[in-house]
Amino acid sequence: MYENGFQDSGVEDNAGTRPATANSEQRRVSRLSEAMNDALAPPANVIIRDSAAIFRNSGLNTPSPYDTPSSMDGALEVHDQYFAQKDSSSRPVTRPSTAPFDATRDRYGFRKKTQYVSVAQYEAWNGPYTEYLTRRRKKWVILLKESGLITDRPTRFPPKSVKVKRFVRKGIPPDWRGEAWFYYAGGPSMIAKQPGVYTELLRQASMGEVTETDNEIIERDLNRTFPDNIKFKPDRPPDSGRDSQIPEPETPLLQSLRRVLHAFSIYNPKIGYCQSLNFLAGLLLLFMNEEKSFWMLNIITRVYLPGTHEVNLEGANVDLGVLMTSIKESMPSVWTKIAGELDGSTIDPSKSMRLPPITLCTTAWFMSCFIGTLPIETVLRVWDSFFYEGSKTLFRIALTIFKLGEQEIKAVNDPMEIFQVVQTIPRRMLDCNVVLETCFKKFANLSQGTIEQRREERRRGYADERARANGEPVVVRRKGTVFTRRKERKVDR
Amino acid sequence: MAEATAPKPSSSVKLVLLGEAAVGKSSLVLRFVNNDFQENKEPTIGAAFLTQKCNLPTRTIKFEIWDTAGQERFASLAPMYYRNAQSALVVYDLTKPTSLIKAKHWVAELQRQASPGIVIALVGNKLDLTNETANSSNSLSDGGDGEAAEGEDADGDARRVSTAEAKSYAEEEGLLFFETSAKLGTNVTEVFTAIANAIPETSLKGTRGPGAAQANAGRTEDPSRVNLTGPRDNASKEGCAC
Repeated sequence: MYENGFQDSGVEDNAGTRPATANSEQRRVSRLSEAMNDALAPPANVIIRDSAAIFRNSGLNTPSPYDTPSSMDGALEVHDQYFAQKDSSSRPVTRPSTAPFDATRDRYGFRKKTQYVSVAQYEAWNGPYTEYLTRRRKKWVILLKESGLITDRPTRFPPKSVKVKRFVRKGIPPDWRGEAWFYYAGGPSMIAKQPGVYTELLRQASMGEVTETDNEIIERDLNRTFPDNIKFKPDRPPDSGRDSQIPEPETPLLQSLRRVLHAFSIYNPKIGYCQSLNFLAGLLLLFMNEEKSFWMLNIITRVYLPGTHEVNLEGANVDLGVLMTSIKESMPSVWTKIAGELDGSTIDPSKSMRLPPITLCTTAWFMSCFIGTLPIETVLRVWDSFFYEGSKTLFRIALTIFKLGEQEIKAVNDPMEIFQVVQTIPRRMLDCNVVLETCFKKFANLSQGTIEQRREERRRGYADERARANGEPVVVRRKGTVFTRRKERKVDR
Repeated sequence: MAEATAPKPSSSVKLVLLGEAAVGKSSLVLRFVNNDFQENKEPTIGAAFLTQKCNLPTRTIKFEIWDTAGQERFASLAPMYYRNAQSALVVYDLTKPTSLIKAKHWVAELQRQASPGIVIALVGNKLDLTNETANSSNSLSDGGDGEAAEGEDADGDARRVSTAEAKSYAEEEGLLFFETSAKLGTNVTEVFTAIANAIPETSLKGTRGPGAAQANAGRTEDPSRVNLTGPRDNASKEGCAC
C-alpha cells in the first residue's frame, strides 16, 4: 500500500537534477575530512589540514608495539581484551534478518512490547510490514543487479539519484542497512584515509588514556544501553533465579560498545563521552562492525550534528532553536501551544536565544537521533534517510511528530500537560511508513541549506552572547561577511 | 474511601530531580509514578516529564516532575527546570561518596538560584545495596570495577555514605532527608508525601481544582521548611495515592 506513498515533492533539493550534485557531495566529503582531521590535532583548537602531519603530531603512525604482543606482560591482558574482537571487526557482527529470536523479540533482538506499544499492536503492524519488507527487498535486489553490484552481503551501493533516494526513503533491507548507511554517509573514504587509527586508539585506551571521568560514566552506562535487546542483555537462564547474585557475563556487543566509546572519547577530546553516544554506538553495532561503528559515530557527531555532543551542548541548543523557528513557521497553531514559558510568557525564537521549556522534551530527539523516542523500526527508517540525505531528515521528522500529533496538541489546555503529550506522541509511532510518508509529503521543502543558514544564525547568536558575557567588545570573529550580516540583523531590530 | 463527598482542594506542585548520573533519579520517579522498577534503566537524555497525584488528608497534590539528565554537561539546562519549581529532590547514591558531594553542589545552587521558598529533599538511594534492609542484596547493580565493589565489606554492605553524615548535613541545611530504595520501593512514597506536606499552603499557586479558595484560607502552616528528621517519621506516612 505504500509502494506509491512517497512522492518526492521536488520542491527542495531536486531543484537541479539530483539530490546530491557532484559539488555538494564534494563539499560534504571535504567537510567530513576536515572534521576528522580536526579530531587528531593534539591541541583541540589547532586545525591541521594535512592528515599526514596529524599522524606525525599524535604519533599515530609509529608502529604499534602490539604488533608483537607477546613481548608485553602486565598490560597484555587488558590489551588482549581489547583486541579479542579484532578478527570479527572486519565482518558485520550480526545479520539481523536471519537471527533467530524467540517470539517476544523483534527481528533485531529488541522486545516487541514496550511501555507504549503492546504485543498485539506490534503484531498487527508487523504482519503486513514483514510482507512490505519482502517486497522492498526484491526491488532492492533488482536495483543492485541493474547497477552491476553484488547482492550477497553488499558493501557497495548504487550512486545517489532520485530513484535511489526514493528507495532509501522506503527503507533499506534490514540486513544491508549497516553497509548502506556506511556507504552513503561517506564511511569508505574516511576509513581509507585513516587506516589503523581505530586500532591505535584501542591501544591508547588499553594504556589508560581514557579520562577517569569518561571511563566512569561509560562503565555506568554500558549496562544501561539497550537492556531490552538480547544482544546487549541476554535472557537469564531459567535456573539462575530471580535474584541471582552472580554478575552476568558481558556480551561481545557490550564489550564492543565499551571499545568504541573509549576510542571515540580519546579521538574527540571536545566531546569525550556524552550520554546518548552509548545509544548511537549501540544501534550502529547492531548493524556493522566495531571499526565502522566508530567512524559512523564520528560522522554523526561531527558532520551531521556538529557540536551537539560537545561539553557545552551548543550544537544541540542550536538545532533546538532551528526546530522551534521551523515549527513557528510551518505550524503556527502548534507553536502557540508549545511556545509558553513555565510562567506563561512566550519567547520569539527569531529574536531571543532562549529556548522554550518544550525543548527539554526534544533535546533527546537530536542527541540520540530518535532512539528511545520513536519505536525502533521507525528509528531505523529515519536513519536510512538521515545517512543518505543529511541532518535535514532529523528536522523533518521532528516536524512530522508535531504534525501527526497536531490534533492532540491543540486539544491540550493545561500548560503543563503539553510536555507529557509531546513526549508521548512519538513513542507510539509504530507505523513507520506513515511517519516517513508524512515527513516527505509535508516537510520536503525544508532544505539542508535553510537548516545550515539557521544554524549559522543561532551559532552567531550564542557567540554574541558569550562575547557580551565576557564583556568583550564586538569583534570580527570570522570573515567579513559575518560582520556585515550582523549589522543587517541590528537594522532588523 | 478517602474521597470525601466534597472534593478536596487540589493543587499542582512543580518538582525537579537533580543529582549525579546513575544515582537512580529516573528509578525513583518510575517507582513513584508507576510503582515499577527496571534493572539497568537507560540514562535520561535531556529530561523527562511525569506527573503523579498525592492524596493528603486535606488536599490533593499533583506533582509535575522534571526528571533530569545526570551527566555534568546537561547541568546547564537545570535552571530551566528549577526556575519555577516549588520543590527539588536531590539524589545521591549511598554507595558512592562523590555523588553526595555532587548533591551538595546542587543544594548550594538551588539555595542560591531557585525560588526562595523551595522545599528541598536530600535522598540517598540504593538502600537495597546495604545489608540494613530485610531484603538486602549484595549484588552491585553497576557491576564493573567501581570503588564500591573494591571497598565492599565482607558482609556485603556496599554503603559508603553513613546515614549520620548525610542526615547531619541535611539538618544543617534545613533539608528533608530520606534513604530510599527505588528497587524495593523503600521510602519512595514517603519522600514525595513529606515534600507535599512541607510545601506551605500559602505558596500553592495555580490551584486549579474546585475548592481552591478553601485551600488558601485553610490552616496556616509554618512557612519555613519543615524538617522531617528521618525516614521513619510518622508525619510522612500519610499516603500518596500511587
